[in-house]
Amino acid sequence: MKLGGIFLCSILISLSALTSGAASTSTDPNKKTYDFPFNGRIYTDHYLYTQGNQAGEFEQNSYSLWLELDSRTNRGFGAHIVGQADALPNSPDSPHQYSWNYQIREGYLSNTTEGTDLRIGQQIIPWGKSDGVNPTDYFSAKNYVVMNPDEEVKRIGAPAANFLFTPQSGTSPLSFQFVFQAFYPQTKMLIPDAAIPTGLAFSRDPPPPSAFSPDAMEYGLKIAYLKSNYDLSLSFFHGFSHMAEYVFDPAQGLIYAINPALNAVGGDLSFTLGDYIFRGESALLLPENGSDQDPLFGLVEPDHWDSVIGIERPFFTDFRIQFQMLYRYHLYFISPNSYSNPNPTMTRIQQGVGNGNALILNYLDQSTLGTTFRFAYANETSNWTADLFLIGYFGSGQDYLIRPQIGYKPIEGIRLTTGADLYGGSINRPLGALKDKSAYFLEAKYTF
Amino acid sequence: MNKFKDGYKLSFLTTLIFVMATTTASAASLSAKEIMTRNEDVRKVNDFETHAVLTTGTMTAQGKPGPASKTKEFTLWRKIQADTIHNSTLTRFHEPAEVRNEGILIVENNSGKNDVLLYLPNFKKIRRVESQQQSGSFMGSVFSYSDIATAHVEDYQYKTLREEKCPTAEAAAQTCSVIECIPSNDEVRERTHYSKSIIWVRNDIFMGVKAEYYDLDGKLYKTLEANQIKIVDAKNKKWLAHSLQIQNSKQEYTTLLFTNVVANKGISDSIFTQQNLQKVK
Repeated sequence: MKLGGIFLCSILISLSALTSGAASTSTDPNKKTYDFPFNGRIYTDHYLYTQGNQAGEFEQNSYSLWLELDSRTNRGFGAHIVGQADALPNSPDSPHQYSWNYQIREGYLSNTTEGTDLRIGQQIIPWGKSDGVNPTDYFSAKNYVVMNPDEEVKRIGAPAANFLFTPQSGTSPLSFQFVFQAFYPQTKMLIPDAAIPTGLAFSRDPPPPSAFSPDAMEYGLKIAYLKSNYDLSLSFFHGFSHMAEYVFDPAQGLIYAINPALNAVGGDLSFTLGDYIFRGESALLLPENGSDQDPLFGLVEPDHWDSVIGIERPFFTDFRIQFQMLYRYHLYFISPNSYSNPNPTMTRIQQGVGNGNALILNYLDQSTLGTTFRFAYANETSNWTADLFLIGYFGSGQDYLIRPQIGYKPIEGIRLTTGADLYGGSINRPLGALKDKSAYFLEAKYTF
Repeated sequence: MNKFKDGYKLSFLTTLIFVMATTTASAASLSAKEIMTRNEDVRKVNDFETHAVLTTGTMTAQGKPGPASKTKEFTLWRKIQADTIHNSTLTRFHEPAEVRNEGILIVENNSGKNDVLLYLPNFKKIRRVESQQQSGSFMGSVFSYSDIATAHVEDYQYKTLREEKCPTAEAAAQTCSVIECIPSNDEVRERTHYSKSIIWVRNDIFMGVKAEYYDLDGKLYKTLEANQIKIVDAKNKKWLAHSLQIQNSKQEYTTLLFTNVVANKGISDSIFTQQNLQKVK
């Protein structure tokens, strides 16, 4: 947040300076500018539990404001900032208690030339081509504790330097993207009750990382080959898992969260063939201790390979169907239940923690098959949209999430969305364990 | 990723946008294909940039455009590719707020199937638009993505139907050749979803002033009128229609107005790349 404050000040100063020199036209579309644009959105979300002990009660009532400032000069310098404030009379984190959340979602300075694009500051860097599940999305994190029908709203960024280089003055199909992140953002998870061993002190959130600390900095490189009808990329990452896993400290009797170090190599591709779009994305993710065969390390996530392959096509002009197969394979899988300790109580606790990690991070089996399905309707001349999304996993038991939603735009700028997040399947699996978190939702959003 | 609003049809818009004033030969002595070759030639500006306003509404009972229900503003950049035939087009939207900074890159190619890429800034991702979707609405307007792209001589087979007085008020004093255009292959038919089109081409400057588009069942589907036809490159005699109004059989209309047109600026090829498409935000 300190870094965010520094960047905010410098960006506001830069915005003022840049605006006075803003050009009205240019041959470069990215240098096109309007006079000090001031954009944003106001939205309210309401989630109502559908089942469990809290059925009929609100899971979340929230009111949010985004303000966005953007400016560029005709010399390629720019500044971009998005601030967010949420008022939460009721939320999964603080049920029926008022809470506030405010953050600089993004705030960076940029410089663009024909062959380069440099951005420095708080930013969200999503990588990956597939829909909903992105094995190569190394840099961003998500806040699953604040509900929103738009998954992108849940993204969390971090202070970073992001440099894109395209040879031949920007005309080459080859490009290189270098990313340095001053510290890793942390995903905030919705923890199912079943994942928390009873009778022990439990700290859900890991300690925040320190900026520019060797234990927090992240680096990545993506080499992409982009043509208008196909593209592919190869990516490398050194950093940390943004999803926390839990360890037990016997001295304090405390279960606490950590973000293990992570190395990864991956890639993605997409291409069009007639009316079909094909996408693929895969990554080999190597967390700290992920290849160790000691049963102690069966309590944390092992090395694994995540892959997504999908096909999408339109029907008529307004409908679209998409199908993806997911596959995750753990190379050095050790069941948490194989851990044993001379102290039976310790064995029980450690196995409980390990099984909790396996449940949250979805490594209950050595290999897991999954699928996603999306059916969507959108017509630019109609004010209605509809979307049905399903994700399911098949391992030692099945579980799923179904998310139907309908949108309506009564007037330009205002959109109403209603739908449901319906979790189901075995309660011993990641999505099934969230069954009691199933909810109907309603969102009203004004974009200006 | 639930923003499934791809539907780009644009092949025809541009056809009527430019016209050439090569008047050394009489249109009456030219074949239909020769007239359309002249038509493509007068539209062939090396590159240009323009501000555009897209206004959509419903026609009144009196057959006039009613109040606009949707207005979108964007900047359009277009440049002829190295083959000197096909174009690359980039649009970047400014208004309304919901689509601000969205970008659309259209790269025409030899196969008759254009590559259309849509950049969604909220997702910071690029979506591909399949050929079938390219006959869908361009940003909620009556224009399709294929309408907005450029029509090329080799994409159609032509027949001169007749010569008559030009049907638009602006060109009422001129004579037009009425040309029937039939897609020369299934790719063009699939991309446009038109079985044929009929174009009124001014005999003096070879610029199209009106077009009728027929759906795959052969029924009249859309009618386009081009006005404010102005020369944008006097040296090379290149023309552009600054006002286009299209109307469909559902009595919906869209007007596309170009302002601040600047031709031959020397727009870089790097503008028309995926990397550039996603540089905003």
